[in-house]
Amino acid sequence: MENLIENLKRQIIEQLNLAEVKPEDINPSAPLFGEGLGLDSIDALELIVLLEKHYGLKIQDPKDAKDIFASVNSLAAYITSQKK
Amino acid sequence: MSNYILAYTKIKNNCLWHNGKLITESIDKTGLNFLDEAYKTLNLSYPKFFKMDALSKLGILCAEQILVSETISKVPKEKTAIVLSNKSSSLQTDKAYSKTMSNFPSPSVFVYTLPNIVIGEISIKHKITGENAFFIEPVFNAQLLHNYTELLLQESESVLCGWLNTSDTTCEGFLYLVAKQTTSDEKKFNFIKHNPDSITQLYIN
Amino acid sequence: MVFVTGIGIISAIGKNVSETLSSLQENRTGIRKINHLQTIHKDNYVAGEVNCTLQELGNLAGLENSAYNRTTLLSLIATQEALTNANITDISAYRTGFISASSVGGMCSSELLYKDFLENKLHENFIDTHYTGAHATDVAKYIGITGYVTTISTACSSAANAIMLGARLINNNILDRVIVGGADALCKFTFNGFNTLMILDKEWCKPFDENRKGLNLGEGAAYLVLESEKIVKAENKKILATLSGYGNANDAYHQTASSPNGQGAYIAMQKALSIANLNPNKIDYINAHGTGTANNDSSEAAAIQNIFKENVPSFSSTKAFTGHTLAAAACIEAVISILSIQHKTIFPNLNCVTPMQDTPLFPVISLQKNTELNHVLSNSFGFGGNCSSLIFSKN
Repeated sequence: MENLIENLKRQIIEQLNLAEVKPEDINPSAPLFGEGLGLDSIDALELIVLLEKHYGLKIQDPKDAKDIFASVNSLAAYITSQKK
Repeated sequence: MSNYILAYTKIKNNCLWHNGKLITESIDKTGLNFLDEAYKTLNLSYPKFFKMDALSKLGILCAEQILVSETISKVPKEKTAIVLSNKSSSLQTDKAYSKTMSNFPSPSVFVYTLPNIVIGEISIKHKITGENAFFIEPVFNAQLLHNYTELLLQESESVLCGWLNTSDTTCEGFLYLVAKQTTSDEKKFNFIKHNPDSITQLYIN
Repeated sequence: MVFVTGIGIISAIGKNVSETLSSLQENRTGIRKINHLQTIHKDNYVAGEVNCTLQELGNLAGLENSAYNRTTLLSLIATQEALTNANITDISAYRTGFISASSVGGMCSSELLYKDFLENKLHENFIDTHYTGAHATDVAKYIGITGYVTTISTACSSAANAIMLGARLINNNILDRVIVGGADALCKFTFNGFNTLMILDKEWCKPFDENRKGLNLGEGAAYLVLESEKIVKAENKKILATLSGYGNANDAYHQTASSPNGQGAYIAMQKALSIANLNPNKIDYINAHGTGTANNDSSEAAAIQNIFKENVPSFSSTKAFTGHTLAAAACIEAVISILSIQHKTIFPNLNCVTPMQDTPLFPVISLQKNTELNHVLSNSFGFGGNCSSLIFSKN
């Protein structure tokens, strides 16, 4: 799980062009949207692309993704649950 | 009351000038790479910059020193208009998006496949809600910008105008601010009279 | 004063004004399965396609072997109709301009031919016409306008801004007459991009419905002939409507989404009312932007509520007829607004059943005839926060 979280942090930084953010700056339990990294609706769409690109997981409706994208931890939990 | 050019910024050949003064240049970070370099030099502290395409980065950089100056900060933001132009529209970004289409189309790139998004980005950063337009012209057209700006100044108090053009390897930006000023201000601050000739002179020099 | 003396239109609901009017009066939508555009999304989505091949469009424009791309042909067909409608026989009789908006330009052709061009230098002509302004240059040349020609590209509000600029040029005695509007053809790039933003409805869109899922793309072109009082008097022209107000503002919120309270829309509508010197309660009908996305319809409803308060006029989105025609939308809807005034009819907001929960506003959902419309407001809001509103008034 730790490896997954570290990978996710790097992938998020790359996919979302967060040029001034380092992996150690991202708190895995902090909110990704609103406060925390302050991501917006386009970033949410890029996270959907990230899930498909790196993990082969497809989200059809961005509304479904709200809980999944709450934090890095919730993203990791979702990915792990889908691998079963 | 006449209309005057209060300030101008140019990016060309890996150099950034403001009001005729060289602010920064780069020998090794050339073309579109110059934009990220200039961001660091200007100390912008605006992380959204790195999500933008080259055209929006160019616009944000050219607009920055003009819009944070004391003179413009006095103009209500709803009374500031923005009129920009170029010849390539968003072609450089269109091509970048086109490349992502075959594999994983990128929404954050697609969002920039319109030339006027740069106006949106400048407006968001500086909270400008005035009128805005983007013209596609085959070459820089001082006459068009001049005429349109003069029309707008019947209702707006200032207009940010200019030309922002990017290709895969180069970028060229020229933004200037026009406002109504009294002639006593002109002598005091060395403002330039707003007419097609003076605009062209600033553009080519 | 700026007068509309001619209109021309081609879209999914008709190849000209007469066909368009019939479709509107008979609740006949143009949103259907995709027939002509060769996109990978063909079987998954519906769209407002003009039901013609490139060859058929060429024929409609009166050209035998046309090398023009789809956007240019749509533009030419609608421009020709507008000129005929305005009884213009000598285009150079007055100082005349042509302002045409587009977002796609010649990309509809170059996206198909780019690869061949890179590899074998084939189809070079099409690459030259990729540039957004090329369609305007080509059409202006064809119809004989040698003076003022330009292209505005501000996404979905483009044609409204073209109309505004035309009006200002006449009001400031720079031109006597301007043909204004826009054209956009459907293309793979657009489809793909909107799909990536996840704002397309796979089925027929439902503007202002609580369960709306997004927009349907459309294509088309429309133009207005704007003329000065001098020409109208000299030639005893029939006035279709007056362009009495216009306004533009930036929402300054997000590159593509609208602010929750629709502040850009609010300012644009306010400016249009101010230019028209009208109290909000004088507006009889609003042709809304109403794309059918969750975001736009809520944002626009909020802005309308804030402007009109207890006196919200009848409103409808006609995008469930035509689809969202992007840079042409504002002029396609300007023509529809003018038809509303002429025929004293409010055309319905099709496919809207369930009221939105976040607003008390609900559109007109069935054809409303015998309705005197003195002042009609038309909204068009584009990506990049570019918000425009126009007011057309009965003469």
